Amino acid sequence: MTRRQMLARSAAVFAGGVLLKEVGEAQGAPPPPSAGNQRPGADAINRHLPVHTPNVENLPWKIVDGVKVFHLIAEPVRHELAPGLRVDGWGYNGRVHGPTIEAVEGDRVRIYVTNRLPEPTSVHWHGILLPNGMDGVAGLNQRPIPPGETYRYEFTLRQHGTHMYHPHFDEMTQMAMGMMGLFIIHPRDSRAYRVDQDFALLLSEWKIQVGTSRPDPGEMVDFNILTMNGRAFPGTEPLLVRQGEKVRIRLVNLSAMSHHPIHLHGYKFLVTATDGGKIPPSAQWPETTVLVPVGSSRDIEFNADEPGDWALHCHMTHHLMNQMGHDIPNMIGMDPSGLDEKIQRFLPGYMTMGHTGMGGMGTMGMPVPRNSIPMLGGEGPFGHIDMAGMFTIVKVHPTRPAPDDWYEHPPGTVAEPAPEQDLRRDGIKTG
Amino acid sequence: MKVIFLWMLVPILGLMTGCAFLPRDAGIGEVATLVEERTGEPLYWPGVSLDEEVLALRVQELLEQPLSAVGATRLALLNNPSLHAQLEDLGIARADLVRAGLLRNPVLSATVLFPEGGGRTQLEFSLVQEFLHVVQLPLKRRVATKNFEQVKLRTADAALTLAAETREAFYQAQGSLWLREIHGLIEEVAEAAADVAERLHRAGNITDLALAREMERYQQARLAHMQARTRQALDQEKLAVLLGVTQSESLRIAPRLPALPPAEIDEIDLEERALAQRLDLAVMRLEREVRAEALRGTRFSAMQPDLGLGAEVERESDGTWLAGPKVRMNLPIFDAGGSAVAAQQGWWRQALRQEAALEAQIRSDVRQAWLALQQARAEVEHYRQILLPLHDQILEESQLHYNAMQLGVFDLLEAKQRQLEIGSRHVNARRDYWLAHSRLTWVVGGLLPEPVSPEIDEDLEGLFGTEEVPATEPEMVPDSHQEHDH
Ligand SMILES: [Cu+2]
Repeated sequence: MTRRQMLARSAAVFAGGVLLKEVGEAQGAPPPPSAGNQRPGADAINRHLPVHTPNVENLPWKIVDGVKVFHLIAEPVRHELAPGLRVDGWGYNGRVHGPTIEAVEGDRVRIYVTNRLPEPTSVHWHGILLPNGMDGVAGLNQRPIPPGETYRYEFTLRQHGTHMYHPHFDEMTQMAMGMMGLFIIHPRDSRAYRVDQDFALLLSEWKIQVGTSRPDPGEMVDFNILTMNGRAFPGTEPLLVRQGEKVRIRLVNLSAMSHHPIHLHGYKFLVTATDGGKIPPSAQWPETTVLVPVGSSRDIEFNADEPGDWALHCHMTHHLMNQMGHDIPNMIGMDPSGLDEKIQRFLPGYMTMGHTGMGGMGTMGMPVPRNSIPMLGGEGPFGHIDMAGMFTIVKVHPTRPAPDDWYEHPPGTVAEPAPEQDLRRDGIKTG
Repeated sequence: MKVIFLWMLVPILGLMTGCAFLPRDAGIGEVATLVEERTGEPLYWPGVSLDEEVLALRVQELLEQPLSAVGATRLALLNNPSLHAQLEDLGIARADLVRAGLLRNPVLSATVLFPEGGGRTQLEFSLVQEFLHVVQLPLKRRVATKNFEQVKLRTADAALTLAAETREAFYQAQGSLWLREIHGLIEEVAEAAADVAERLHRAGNITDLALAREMERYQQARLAHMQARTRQALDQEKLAVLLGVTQSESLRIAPRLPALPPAEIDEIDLEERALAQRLDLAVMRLEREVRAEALRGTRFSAMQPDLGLGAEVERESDGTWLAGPKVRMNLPIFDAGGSAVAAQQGWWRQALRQEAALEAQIRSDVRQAWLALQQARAEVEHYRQILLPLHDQILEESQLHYNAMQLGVFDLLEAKQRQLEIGSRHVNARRDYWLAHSRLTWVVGGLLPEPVSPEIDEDLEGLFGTEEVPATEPEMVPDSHQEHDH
């Protein structure tokens, strides 16, 4: 491919990106699984392995006189957080969250930011070393970008790492509405820090009152939707890995108020980087859970040698719920005998809930307020997965799995009801 | 002498025969027609215009099914003992009328004189007929006829008033029956909430404070239900008296106030209609006419000497008979009758003014009753079209939010309770509509220009959960006469 051909292709993709936004809302549907290896930018100039941001597109770009040119458009976006829950949020280029910006150490980047919001905005390039006037704090480093106007940011990338971008004007509102994205800078030497799969997950939290479609920026503590890349389980796209691959997962937290201890099942991993840069190998430490504080990033790496469908989730149990209510009486342990019949005489739809615990609520299929997912979990190979929110699955299969594939366990390697003779043999009394 | 005597009897007998024979049931036919025109219901005079046993059978029939407002009115007219007592006025007035047609009896006087020292007694006989009375007789009869008319009108008006009071008492009783039912449901809901609270408290999940609060709500609901029960019993008692039913607890009342008639009542001509129909006003008009007659009579008698004409027969002591006419009159020296005329004039003018005052009152009453009816209709429609559907929606959404664990069981039960409370306020509004309707019917003095809606609307039955609504008789339509006897 000649340089001229390559530029033409990039421009077409750029135009396509704008077109996509014109068409309207982001569906939030998972991109084809193969897209991770074939997105724009994965070309001859930069041989780095492209980062894969599940559920999120990468931002197209073009080269103009050696400068990598991007265009971000801040605008209202209708977005599906999970099947059954759509919100009227704000995002970039028709998406919530914004597309991932991918670049290489040493690139000069020129990023146009068009504001189509009803209020001013600005973009802060979080963790990126740049001239002070490009840092994006409205009022401090620049004028806010008024609605309808386009500002230009331009700087040279002097580092590599896992970074992010988000508004720094009315950031409480604008981030609560979904405005944030990833900014991944690959090292200039594409052979350094090599992995086989490079994933990025942007963690955030929302308050969406059951039965509404507008995120509530006023919420301070009671967040009820916890997302990875703007999707809550069962809307999260799984991380697909072939057994034996070396995997990096970049964890970035732009939640309003919550740090997230992210726990990976099946492996111990090394924490290899923060948004401050790479951690020297001697200082990397093994973990199975890494705390990702608000406004931070953590890269973890592991060898995916143990096959299976492994859970990857925040370990705060309330972050494994969708739109759970907190202001209801604690029913657990209550004697319900005869109560349903009594109340159904005047409320035919009534059923006592929660007195034995809340498991399986998602499988009851009771009618709930429109546009709400208060109970939702997902379907797994062994039935209902009773978790939601900040939860996804790392699928490590002997061959590269498709998103819907489930791991086939070798016989005898799945927990099952204990046979009577085993109980007897081992002297286990259950009665 | 004989000639004179006979000559005098002729006009007397003539006047007497001019008085028509009045049957015992005089007037009841007209009264019944008036009442039926204005209520759609028949009126009978027990033992006179309808056999007592037949009447008792009809009463029994009416009591066998749940009563509607129309049935209650019919029953009251058939069975109210005070009305029956009032009907006897007709008989009394009839007798008065007959008496007014009779001449004052002639005065016979006889004198026997015994001469001093013996000898034949002297005899004197005289027969005097009051002349003025004879002349005034047609006038007196006119007055008595009008008085009889007045009694008929008053009797009919008493029946209409009874009908109005019965309708009012009926709607009160029907409303309180419905309210009792709703308060029973509210208590049931509150009891369920208290039950849940007790269970949660036993499980160690809620505080003593939370339990006490829930108990307090339940006890309030119990009290309200208790009050509604008593209210209902009292209302039923009041109705039973008007219906002439001695065993008030045996009364069965259709459990739902009827739906509103689809069309509003037109205000135009209502006042004129009332002035034409109101029987108390008709009584007042007759009173004015009676006063005018009385004034004429007083003026006449003031001009006429109080003259008595007759004959006198005398046997002197010597045995000779003397006979000759006799005149007796009082001389208007001290009382020329002027003061009596002045008093009658005063009464007449007073009647005139009272009639005007009543007319003005009636016009205003009609306007007030119509306004009250409009307001009641607007309120009922507000509940029916806006508030009740909103509360249905609130309850439905509350159930969804409960399913979604966004609302707890107490919130859900409270939503149900609030819906029932709005239901009870709607029943109040609907009762007020029918009270206003009854009031307007009464002040207009007869049926209103509208058909009474026969439906019981179904849209409220959701308030009562899964409970069946008791079957009701179809509302009897007052202007359909086929069920009546004439
Ligand atoms: Cu968390």
